[in-house]
Amino acid sequence: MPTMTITITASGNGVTWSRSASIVVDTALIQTGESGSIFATEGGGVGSISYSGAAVVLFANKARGSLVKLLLNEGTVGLGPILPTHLPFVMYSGVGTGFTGAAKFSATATDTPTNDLVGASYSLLTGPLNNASLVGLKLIS
Amino acid sequence: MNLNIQYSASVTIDGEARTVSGGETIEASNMITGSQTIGNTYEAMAGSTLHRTALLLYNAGSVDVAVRVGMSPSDTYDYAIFNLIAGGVMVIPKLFISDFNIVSEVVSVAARTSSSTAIVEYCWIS
Repeated sequence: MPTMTITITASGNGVTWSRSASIVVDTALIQTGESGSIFATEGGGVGSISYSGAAVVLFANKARGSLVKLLLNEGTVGLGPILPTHLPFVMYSGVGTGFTGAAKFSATATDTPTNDLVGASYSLLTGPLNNASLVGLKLIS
Repeated sequence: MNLNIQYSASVTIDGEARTVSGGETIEASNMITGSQTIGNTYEAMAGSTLHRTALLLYNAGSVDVAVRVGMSPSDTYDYAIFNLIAGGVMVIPKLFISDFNIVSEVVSVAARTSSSTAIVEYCWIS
């Protein structure tokens, strides 16, 4: 089975912090362009996934000098991080080592991630829009 | 100081490599690294209520960790809670779009395990 590897490294003043994650996936999809609804439930764009099949996703803003809204939907509401160029956002679904879902957007402070990611889209906050995503799909049992 | 942040995601499917990567150098005041033992009730991550550019997290344990991001202002949904699986790495930026559909600041980051304990390693950048 293919393994998707994600690495994030920060370095400054001679100090480096670098960590990697490896997740076994069934297959993977790559999305890149100026508009990005990468899950069909968000509508429009280049919807390519219509089910909650993501095991891991890396979202990235590729346009220098811009800020992008990444709206995530886990079945209740759309919200999410604002991405500058230098910071990606990474999400994982449960892989059998604890929590079952990827996220939970909630008013309850004791909640845990029980929902799958069912929608994700990029939209422009300021500057040009150019983004990229790599989606690893869950293993089919 | 100049702080360089790089990221990549890659996988090879049927002999074809698929990669998304990027990064850049930013001006930063501090980079603080460390680790924290997390139990199965939410506790604040180190420095999580302080001004920061980003918080990088790595789950060095063998069980999943829930990372709870507190946003302000918000409407109904005050928290975005994400699964940082065992062996997973993630980034919490300083700003979110809340369900109020406005720019919200991340005002807290807390974490708990699914069971037992886990060590979460962090890199705090301001």
